[in-house]
Amino acid sequence: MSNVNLNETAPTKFQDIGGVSLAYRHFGKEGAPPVVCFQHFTGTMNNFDPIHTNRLAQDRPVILVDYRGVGRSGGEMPDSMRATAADIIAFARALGLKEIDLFGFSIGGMVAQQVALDAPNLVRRILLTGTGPSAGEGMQVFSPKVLEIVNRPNSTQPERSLDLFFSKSPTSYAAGKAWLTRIAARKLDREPEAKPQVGEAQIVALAKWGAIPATDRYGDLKKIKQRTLVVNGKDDIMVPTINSYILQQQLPDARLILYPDSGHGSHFQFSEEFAEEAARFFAAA
Amino acid sequence: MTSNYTNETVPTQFVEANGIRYGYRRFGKLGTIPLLFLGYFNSNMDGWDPDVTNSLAADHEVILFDNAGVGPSGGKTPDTVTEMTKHCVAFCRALGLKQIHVVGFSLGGMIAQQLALEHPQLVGRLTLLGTGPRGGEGMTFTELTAEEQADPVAFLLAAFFSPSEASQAAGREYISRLESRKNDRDLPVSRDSAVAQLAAIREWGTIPATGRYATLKSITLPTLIIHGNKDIVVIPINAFILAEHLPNAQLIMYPDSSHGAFYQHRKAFLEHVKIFLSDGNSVAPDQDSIKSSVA
Repeated sequence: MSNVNLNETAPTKFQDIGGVSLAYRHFGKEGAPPVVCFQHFTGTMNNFDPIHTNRLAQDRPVILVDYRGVGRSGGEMPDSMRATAADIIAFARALGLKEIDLFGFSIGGMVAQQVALDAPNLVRRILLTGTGPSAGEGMQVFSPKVLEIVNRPNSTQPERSLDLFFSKSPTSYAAGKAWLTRIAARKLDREPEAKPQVGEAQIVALAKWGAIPATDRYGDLKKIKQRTLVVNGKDDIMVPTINSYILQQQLPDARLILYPDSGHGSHFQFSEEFAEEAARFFAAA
Repeated sequence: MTSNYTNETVPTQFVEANGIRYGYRRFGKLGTIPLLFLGYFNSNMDGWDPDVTNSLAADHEVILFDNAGVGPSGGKTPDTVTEMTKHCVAFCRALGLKQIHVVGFSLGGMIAQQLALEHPQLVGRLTLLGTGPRGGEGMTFTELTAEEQADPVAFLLAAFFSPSEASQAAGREYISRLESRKNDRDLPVSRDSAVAQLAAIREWGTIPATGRYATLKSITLPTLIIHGNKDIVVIPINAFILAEHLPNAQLIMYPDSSHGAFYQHRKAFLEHVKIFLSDGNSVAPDQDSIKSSVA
């Protein structure tokens, strides 16, 4: 099992959730709650790190899924985390899943929190990377630094990912390039890149998620009782790292890991160590 | 090869430097870079959890140490972290140690930072437990007194563990493990020594007029920071500040835990510290190698 690259070979399937079908891939060892994995801003299933997914698949089923409107999933990307979470809950129920673990990166981590809030009995454990709470610090809009990278003329998606997800050190940059190579390894049955509507809707969703209410700023976090692991790099420019600390302080049962010399994609940079940490987190009694 | 001693059986020894006799205990795997353990305010060598030291002794030599004026050690306990650090260096030189890894808890973590800052060639890796930077947040410890341990069990349960049932149960187990060394127990910390230690941690915690966290960027050693998410002694934002300002530090924060988080979560802690000390990939290369790879 451990030598099989399931991330590369698992076929893409489709699940109807009522009027629309979501694209997904399901692989790994059966007999444990599956871990359902969600992607970052404009990301598709292509971007999951095979080091993570293949490691987790040794112990449990792994389900990668594209949001409505992303990749080959039908419809249009919703413009709120709540509507996106409702799709994921419908997806899990349509697959007949009774208990799932969640692994969300960036926007995926926000969707994961919303799923846990809206379907608490469905969710067992939550792994959050490079993300933040609703109403977090500096989360309504991208910082000028991020916008400069995103809007850089003539840059490619991989080039932008390197600058957005990794630190400036040669070590971090090299790790970023290795990650890009890993996610390009799957040649067949790839998802098409996200259409422009996805980014537009996700920016609206981020603004709603990041809006700071007049009272009870982090009140929702107290309701997420599931055991949670929060991971980030010490210099995340997309979702400022202080948000990972806030998540850990406010969630009732969370542990936090911050990696050195890294940013939003610290889990790609410290990929094997993170994969082992994640495997231990999901496996622990 | 491992020495036949454990935390429970290792005899207290003495070594002399500059006219001061320092008490220490040394056991574990021979021929390794030793782990020097530096303890918390008002503690002596008996304050270390035998489960933690014995487990780490399987892979490393372990050295427990009473700083000047603490327990059986001679001299007077200094009232600054900087002076305590000088005693550590004298002690290491007297033992002929060329390189050590340092595990510092609370006050011990402050000495560990100062040691790494002033003597980077002596220290390999730093493990900082429940500690904070010089001039950190809420670190002048105004409620702490030298009489803090009049009822040591009540003190430890209240300060090292959270009020939850699970944490309190872990606290009681920790306290019973501390009793497992029966013979050759350490001498208690004197009131004079505790008063000096308190002055030292208050001086460390005083916020400087300028350059509040400036020295942290000079501590480039691979560092592991471990903290409890509800530490009531050194509040947890200090661990975040350390992680943000130290150039090469990983932070791990455990749930439902206070100052003694690493005792409460010791299974996870021992895994994490072993990965760190065995050079998993959680640390970046040092700054010099980054520079050379740029050139």
